Amino acid sequence: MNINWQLRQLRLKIVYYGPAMSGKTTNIEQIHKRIDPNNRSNLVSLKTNEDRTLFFDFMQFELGKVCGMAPCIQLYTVPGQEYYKASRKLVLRGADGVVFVADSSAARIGDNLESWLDMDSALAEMNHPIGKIPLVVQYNKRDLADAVPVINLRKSLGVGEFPQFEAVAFNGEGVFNTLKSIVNDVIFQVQKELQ
Amino acid sequence: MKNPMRLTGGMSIIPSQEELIDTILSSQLEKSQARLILLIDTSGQVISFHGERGSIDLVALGALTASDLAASEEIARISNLYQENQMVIRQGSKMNTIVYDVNHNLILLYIVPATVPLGWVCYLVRESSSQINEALSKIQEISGGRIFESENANLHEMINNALDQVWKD
Ligand SMILES: Nc1nc2c(ncn2[C@@H]2O[C@H](COP(=O)(O)OP(=O)(O)OP(=O)(O)O)[C@@H](O)[C@H]2O)c(=O)[nH]1
Ligand SMILES: [Mg+2]
Repeated sequence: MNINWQLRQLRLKIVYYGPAMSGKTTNIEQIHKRIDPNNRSNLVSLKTNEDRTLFFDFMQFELGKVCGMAPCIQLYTVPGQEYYKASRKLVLRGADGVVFVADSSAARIGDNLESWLDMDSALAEMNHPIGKIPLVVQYNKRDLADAVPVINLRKSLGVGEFPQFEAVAFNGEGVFNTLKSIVNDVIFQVQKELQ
Repeated sequence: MKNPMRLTGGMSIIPSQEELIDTILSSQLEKSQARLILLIDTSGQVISFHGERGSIDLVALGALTASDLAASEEIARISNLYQENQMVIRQGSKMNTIVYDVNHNLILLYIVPATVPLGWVCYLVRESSSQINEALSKIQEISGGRIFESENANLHEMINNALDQVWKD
């Protein structure tokens, strides 16, 4: 978080976290595609030759004045693959909110959990433990034939009472609702912290 | 940039300090013959830019420079080589690039023709860094308070409206 009181600008960082291939980059690509180019930056993607995230994707966009304050939202994705753990931690640093993108496929239940626990310990290390930092869960790939019912996915993660959304990110479904929810949560958290 | 800026560490740059920083970096640009000098905060936000803007995407440059330094510092930490004020030097055939950790809140980027002796450039980077720290030493805290002057119910509505406005389906 970064506030410029005189300009009344507020900069917030939201990180998309989750297992490899769950659709984090797809979320941010959809957001980039759908936000008015006048209000957003370019999309920066540091990726491997196979289009897997190597370090992060990044974009930022500005909102019009909200009560005289102009929020600028920075979005990052982490690389989900197991061996990029050190890079994930770097990207997570300074996050004001997190979107956990889970993969709905039955085959990926274990990977979701592993990533969730990995996030849990990384956030705790940053003194921003789960429960304190705004967090929204997105169950992506609802279109898959082997998509597990959300209630079971939730149970398997042991996820508490977080806002949750179903999504089919590659056609944009659920992407905006997820974004709206986390932006609201993050701004409310800031409001609370500064009071 | 002409306006005061609050940094991640809770510092504020007031206009007179910003003028000082501008003066420091303009003089550095001349002395180092740099193509460009960039001062950003650790989140990648651009605070001051000097040199040839050309078609450079400053938002991307800021974000990447901050991440570049974060990765280098982590490499140093993992290999037990971490020290304060990390300097990352990239030698190219035409240009050299130096990224420098000014004070945990600020980062300097110099892009300088390879014809300028690297040792001289490194000296200048350290020099400007300590000048910037000095300019910032008289930090003024601009008071905070409630940022969104609104009841919570309205606030949700306003955030959602602002989001709807930038979104095209
Ligand atoms: N079936 C289906 N596929 C999707 C959906 N969303 C994304 N994908 C696909 O899943 C694959 C991985 O998507 P990415 O967005 O690159 O995944 P990621 O989470 O960024 O992966 P890493 O960068 O490796 O961590 C791509 O082929 C996407 O097209 C979805 O809703 N349904
Ligand atoms: Mg990715």
